[in-house]
Amino acid sequence: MDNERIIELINKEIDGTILPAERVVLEQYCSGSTEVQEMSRDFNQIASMLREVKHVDPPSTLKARVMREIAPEKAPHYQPLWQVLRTSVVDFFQPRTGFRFAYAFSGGVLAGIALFALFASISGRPSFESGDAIGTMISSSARNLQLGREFTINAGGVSGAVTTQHSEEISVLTVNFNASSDVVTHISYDPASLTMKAVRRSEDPGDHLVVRGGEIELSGVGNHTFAIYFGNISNSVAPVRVTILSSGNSLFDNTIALGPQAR
Amino acid sequence: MPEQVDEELIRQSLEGNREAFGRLVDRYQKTVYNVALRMVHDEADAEDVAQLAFVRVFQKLRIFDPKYKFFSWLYRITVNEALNFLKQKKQFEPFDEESPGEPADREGVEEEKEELERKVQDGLMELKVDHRAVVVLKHLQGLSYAEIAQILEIPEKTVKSRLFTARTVLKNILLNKGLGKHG
Repeated sequence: MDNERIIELINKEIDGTILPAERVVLEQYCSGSTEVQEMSRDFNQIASMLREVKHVDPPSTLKARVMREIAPEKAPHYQPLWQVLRTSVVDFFQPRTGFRFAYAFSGGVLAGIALFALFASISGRPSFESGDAIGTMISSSARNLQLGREFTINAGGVSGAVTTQHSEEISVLTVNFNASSDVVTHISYDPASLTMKAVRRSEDPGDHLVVRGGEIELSGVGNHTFAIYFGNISNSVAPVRVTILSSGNSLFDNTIALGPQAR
Repeated sequence: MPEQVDEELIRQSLEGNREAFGRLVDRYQKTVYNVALRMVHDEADAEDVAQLAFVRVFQKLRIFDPKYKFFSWLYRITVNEALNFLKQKKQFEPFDEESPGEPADREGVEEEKEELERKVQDGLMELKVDHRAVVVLKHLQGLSYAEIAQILEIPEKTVKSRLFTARTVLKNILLNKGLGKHG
């Protein structure tokens, strides 16, 4: 008995692509073996049951969540510096590129400029503690982030969300809002549990960002997205208090758990 | 036609047009969500996986090779994100607490269908993830063996043999759940 042929015919029967002559052959196999007969019947039954599994509509929040994540500064043509460097290294070893040296050189120049800009920006701003931020380059472990929690905000003319993500090494707190009046977001954390690595935010000249040991404050009007990258110091849950005020009114005041054990 | 429109939306997305990417999300979110849901079972987790898949697509759009079909690439990313998610979540626990167990006084064709669907989904979750993926793509998404082979990056022959094994295992699982008895 040609098992491979039998399976092929049963597959075709299930798929609805079996030819009349092939069906005759399959029926001959079935009449000659109860095992083949049962296999054909079982597999057809399974296919029939699986057809009962309905396609469901996705949650109405899915698209909004995706679009929030792909905010303008994250457009495909924008690449964070670490990715430019990584791409340069990958391209360097691709024989099809004729620009390996150009990429490596430009990557090195960009890295130098970024480091210079970082130190230049830190040195003149007394409200930014250089010990809290270790540059704007995010390690590749940040790619394996698990989604944590999401809190929506919809009050006082402000709509948006606060979301958390976690990996073993990194916790990310993202605040996204659209406000018609000045909004102040204040974040306080325990430097013994979390190390602030970097802040990524939408470019808006009206923003005012202040960072000092254990405290982060961002104020501005309009559409804002900023993500704070924390390094997890220990495996335990680290609470972070997030308050959002608009015109002196408290719109959001929650203590959120970060860290690899938080969900 | 649909392929051309996908390419046009991709081109516009790469030029910074987020709305164009939003239209791609509109077009494929139901498909992506359902693949994720049948792989991870939980609705909230499926939404997370679907979101991750679209964001990953967006991030990698620049390196998408147009000689391949966009939807195959999208499927591949979705399945990979689901597999990564399941790996991080460790072993799946049998989903007993939401299954009613004894049917009790269920009445109506709709309730029977829902129960069947629930048991089939529970059965799917007892399959190994590799087998689950081929069953989901073949039976629930209706893809061809060639398309599945491209998505999972395995030979077509492997798809067929994996599917054969998956169906055999699933048959026994569903029998244990009281489904598929021959009359």
